[in-house]
Amino acid sequence: MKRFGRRVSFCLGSVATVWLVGTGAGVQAQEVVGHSTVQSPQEGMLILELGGGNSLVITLADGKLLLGGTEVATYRPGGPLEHAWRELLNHARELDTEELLRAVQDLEVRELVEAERVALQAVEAAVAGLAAAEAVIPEVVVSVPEIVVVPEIPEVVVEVPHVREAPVVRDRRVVIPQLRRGIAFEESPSLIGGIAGSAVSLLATFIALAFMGLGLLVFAPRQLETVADTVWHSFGRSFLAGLFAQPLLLPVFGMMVVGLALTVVGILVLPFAILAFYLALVLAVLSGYIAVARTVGEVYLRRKMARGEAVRTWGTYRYIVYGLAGLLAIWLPAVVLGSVPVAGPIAIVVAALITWVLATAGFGATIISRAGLRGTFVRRIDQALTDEQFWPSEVPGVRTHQRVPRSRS
Amino acid sequence: MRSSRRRALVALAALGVAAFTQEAAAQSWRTISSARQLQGEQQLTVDVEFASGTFRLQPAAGTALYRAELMYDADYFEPRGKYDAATHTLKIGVTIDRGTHNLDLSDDSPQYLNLAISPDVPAALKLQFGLARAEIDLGGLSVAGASVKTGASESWIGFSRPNRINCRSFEIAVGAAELLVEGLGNARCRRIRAIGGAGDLTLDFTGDWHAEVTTRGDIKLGFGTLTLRFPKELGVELDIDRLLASFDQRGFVKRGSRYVSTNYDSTRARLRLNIDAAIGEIHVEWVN
Repeated sequence: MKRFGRRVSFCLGSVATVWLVGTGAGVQAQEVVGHSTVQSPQEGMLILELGGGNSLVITLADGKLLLGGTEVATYRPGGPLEHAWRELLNHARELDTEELLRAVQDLEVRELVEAERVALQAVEAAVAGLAAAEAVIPEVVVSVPEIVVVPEIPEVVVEVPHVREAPVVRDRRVVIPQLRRGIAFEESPSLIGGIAGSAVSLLATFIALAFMGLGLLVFAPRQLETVADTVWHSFGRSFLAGLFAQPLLLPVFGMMVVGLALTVVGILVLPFAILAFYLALVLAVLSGYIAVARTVGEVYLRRKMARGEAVRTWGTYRYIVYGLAGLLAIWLPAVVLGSVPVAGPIAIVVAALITWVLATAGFGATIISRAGLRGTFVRRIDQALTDEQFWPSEVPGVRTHQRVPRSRS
Repeated sequence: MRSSRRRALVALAALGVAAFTQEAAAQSWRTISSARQLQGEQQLTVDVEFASGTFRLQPAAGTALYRAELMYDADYFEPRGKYDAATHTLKIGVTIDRGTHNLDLSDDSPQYLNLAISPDVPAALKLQFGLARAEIDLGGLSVAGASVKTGASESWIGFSRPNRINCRSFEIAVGAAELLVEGLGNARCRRIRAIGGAGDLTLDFTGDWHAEVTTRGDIKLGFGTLTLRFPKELGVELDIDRLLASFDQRGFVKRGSRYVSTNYDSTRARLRLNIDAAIGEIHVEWVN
């Protein structure tokens, strides 16, 4: 019933609904300016929109004929009257209002039972006094385009890429002798040039990641440490989390897009949501990779210190720089052997595979540590290896580890 | 390439929804048709909001002000339809009624809205589609202005014939969609604006360019591919601000910070575009 009401409101909008009684007296000289139909397996509705804002609604639903919502007759569901009515409504989409009105007024149905004859007569009576409004076609002023005076552009030096000869500016026109098409004139770089180019790219990557690591260290040091600790102490778990998260990225992205698009209102938010998703993903992967680098650097430097070698102290950032250098060094064979037929591709694949494994573990660690906010999988302080709990307590006679923590509030 | 991207997008969407989809439920389809005679209206505002399915818009034949036919799944969507005779405003479409649980969002969903409007009445169009395909032929209509927003869909908008009147502006906002706009030379719009979030946006500026006309446009692209198709008789000036987007400079020379087509000084019809692109590609095609 609720849906019925909705469908009526679809067609009528704010205009009033009236039932024009069977005699047709009330509809004399009424003009019909439009029509609508609503069809579903349960009902077939015709709405004739009258000049002046009123409407005539004729509905066949569940064996009842309704005029303006009031039951006036009955019919056999699936019988000849309903069949003819639905045929009429099916054709309504192709008919002008005038043609449709005439079709309703001339509706003839055979093999009706008495109740259906009454129903058909009620319909005929309701539309008897109606006439289609004459169409009034407005005069459209077919406008000519506006003339816009374009200010002259001063002559300037023209730089043209891929041109054999310099362009000539003549009578305020740029004459280009011959434009090259495509990039067929590019020469292949030399072997040393190729290695140098790749090495520069690798160095640029190192510098970019090092700067990003510095940013993370300054703005999110605890989070970075938590992710790095997670990688160190739960490498397998982190890798599996990253591995299983990767195939889920596309569905999650798709759901986000679909969810926002379906609301229609969310269309405007969609570009920002996509940007946010992209940035979050890039940040998660890169920060995870940097966390892995931090771990590798820390392991390397701690072992160096354990051997008694001197290590300069510039804090945790040293771990990141050493770690990044170590991780990116994996690509050095690929850089050097890149253009060698068999060894080159193998070196590239090996380096890419190792980098993928480490990046996946870093990404997974970022996920399971909730971007470094949750330290569930970080290392635990082993009380057997620390004497911290034996330090003097401010409470006499009670060791530190036995002390009940007091609220700071 | 284009169709594979579309398939990928649809597959992506389907995959996303499939996570929450169980066995498809029985659907309740309703069909609504509506038409109204011309009564000397001097203007028409068309406000379409269509969440999912296929939307078609074309010029109406005969003496109808508008003619609409809508089939929708009543289990999930709410019809939206009203013609206000006082303001000459037609609001039509479907909006999502419930959650997307069990909702059929496949490419061949039978849900549709076919709308035809009179070419004799100046029309202001506000068209919004969510996860819908749209085929919009504005050729021969009297378009006073148009605003099109599309979410994740494959859509085509075309001016197959010249607009009968001048239009104020033509605005397009694309979420994650593939949108092809053809015949913008027939649009006769003073200003063209396009915002692309992610996806493929193709703007075809062919058509009937009139003498001594300069059209201005603003295009913003987030991620994706922007293809600009220009007729060779059109002078084009591009002011491009790009972050990580490539630009195919064929047919352009650089004047200061702008790119100007090599024919720019000899053409009467000109197009000036400001392009702001973040990540992606900007392709240029010159056609006869």
